[in-house]
Formats: sequence, C-alpha cells, structure tokens
Amino acid sequence: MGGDSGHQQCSCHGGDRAGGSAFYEPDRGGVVIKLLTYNPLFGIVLTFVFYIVSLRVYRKVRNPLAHPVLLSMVGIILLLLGGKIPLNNYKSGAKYIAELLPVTIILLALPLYRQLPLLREHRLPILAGIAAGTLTSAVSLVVLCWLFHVDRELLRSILPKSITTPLGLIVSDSLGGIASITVISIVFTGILGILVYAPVFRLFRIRHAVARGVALGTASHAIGTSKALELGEIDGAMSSLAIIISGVFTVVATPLFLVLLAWL
Amino acid sequence: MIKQIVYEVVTVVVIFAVGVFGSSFIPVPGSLISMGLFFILLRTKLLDVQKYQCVSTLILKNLAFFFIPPAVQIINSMDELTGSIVKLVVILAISNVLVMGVTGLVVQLFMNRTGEAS
Repeated sequence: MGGDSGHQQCSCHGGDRAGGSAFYEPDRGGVVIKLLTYNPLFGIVLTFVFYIVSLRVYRKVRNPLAHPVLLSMVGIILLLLGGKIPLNNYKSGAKYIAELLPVTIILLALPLYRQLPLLREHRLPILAGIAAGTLTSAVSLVVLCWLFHVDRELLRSILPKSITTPLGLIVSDSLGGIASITVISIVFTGILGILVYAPVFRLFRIRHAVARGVALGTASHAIGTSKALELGEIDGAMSSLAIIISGVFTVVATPLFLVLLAWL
Repeated sequence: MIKQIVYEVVTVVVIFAVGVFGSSFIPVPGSLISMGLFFILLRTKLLDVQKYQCVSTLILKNLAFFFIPPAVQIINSMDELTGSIVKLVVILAISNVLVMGVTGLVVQLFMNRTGEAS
C-alpha cells in the first residue's frame, strides 16, 4: 500500500480492480480507507460507535446541545468530509438501520398499552391538549414561514417537526418534503424543547404534572420526554403517551396539510 | 432469556409483515396498522405484555440511535439550508414555545372544567 500513496493520478491503475469506478479521489492514496468503507459493515459499525460514545458524553455533560443524535451526526459528517468518504459508502450500511424505523413505531404500542389507565383517567384533557398542540404546530409554522419568507419546500419538510422521527418521515414523504431536513428540524425541535420548557411553564402557568408531561411530549417528542421523566413519573408517562397520540394525529391530518399547502 | 427474545422478535416481525401487507389495501402507513394490531393483540391478552422486556425495552430506550442515518444525510441538503438555517431555528423556537404553551394550557383548562385539578 505504501508504494501507492506517492502517485498523482491512479485512475489508470485502478482499472484492474473489480468495481474500480466506485473508488473516488484516487489521488489521496486512501486505498485502505476505500477498502474499509466500501462495505455495508462500515456504516453500521460507525453509527454504533458514534452513538455509544456520544451517549456517554451526553450523560456526563447533561447539556441538551450534546444530544446523542446531534453529536453523532456532526461527528460522522466531519469524519466523512475529512476522510473524503462518499456518503454512499456510509449509506450502504446505514440504510439497514433506517429500515428498522417502522419497527420502532410498532413497539410504541407497548407504552401506550402500559399507560392505558392514566389515559382513561384524563381522557378529555389529554386528547384536547394534544389536538390543540398539533393544530398550533401546523398553523404557527405556516404563519411563521410566510412572515420570514421561507420557501414552500422547506415548509413541507418541517411541518412534522414536533412528532417522533419515524412518523415524521412518513408525513414529510407524503407532503413531498426532504427527509434529512425533516430529521434535522425534529432533532432541533426536541433540543429547543429542553431549552425553553422552564420559562414556558412559568409564562403560561403550567403546573399540573399531566399538563407538563403532555406539553413536553406534544411539542418535543422523545427528547422532551427524556426531560419529562426527570420532572416526575406522571410527567414521563404522559409525555410518552403524547408522542404516540400527537404522532398519529399528525399522520391522520396529513391530507388536511396537503389541502392547506395547495391553497397557499 | 433466549426464548423470550425469540418470542419478541418473531411476533413483532409477523405483525410488521401483516402491516406492510395491509397497507397495500388501505391508504394507511403499514407501521401504523402494525402498531394498532399490536395494541389490539396486547389488549385482548393474545400477546403477553410481560414478555416484551428485553429487545423491546432496549430499542424503546435508544430510539435516538435510529435517527442518526437520516440525520447524516443532511450533507445532501446543505445547499438548500445555507442562508436559511438561522431563520429555520428561529421559526422552530417560536413554534415550539407556542405548541408547548397552548398544549399545557388546554390540558389544564379541561382538567379544571371536569373538576380533576388537584
């Protein structure tokens, strides 16, 4: 390998390898890197390693800006850009992780079932609150995007920003949004939720544990729920309930958003 | 232990397959059909909720992990985002405050009305 690193253009040498056209940037002498990354295992292992490391960091610093998704995303992007590794090499493995997203939605039936007694007890307030929150999310985004002159494409991508990623991707897809922008807006919304929840609760005088939990889950999905769990057991249960219900509400309301977008 | 893991994986995979199959007949995402079906099976006690402790809990506790691959794909959308990233964060922040406030207020309002407030 050492002899390879010196030459300028090796496209002429690369031809004897099967799949030689898949090797990008042949002048960097990164044959080792390419052999390592041109394998589905690369994306899978890389995602695991970055997730585990950033989870450790997050638990240590306890700062919402160090959220594992944000840290892993930045870390992996820097590694890909720094090593001049094509995104497709990462995706060939990472796509298997993304394909498991529907399975995570199915599993949400478990907390829903386990918290059925709590839901029954406060059925009306919970459903009314989540419906109001879902509506507020859509209406505020339409108004704000109009105020800030943000183009329609971005609006389509960020409309499901308050719901859990697997469901948000379904909504974004049927609205014609860009998946990665949807994911980013969902992650940002979650982190912003942890940053603003204290002043918001003070400002709006939200004191009841059920109200706090439903508000955190409806506004900031799983990331908000992690905060709600710190506030209390009822908060946490209510928040995870709100993730599922607000997600389902938003998916069901998607045709309505389509009409709204067409009318704009 | 292993028996339990097999139980979890096999039932969820079967439910997942039924959802995918069902979504070709009705215009509802397959994963939502599967979730509803799973809920009904738990509710009717055909499946034992106690058995979903290993893999399911692990996945539910680490939902964030599955968000990483789609998040990394932001590289492809850098062009659309440069110039509007600050606007985007401001919009998301304002909207988030409104959603959280309105949701909490409505919940408390209905709790007071039905006399549930503590």
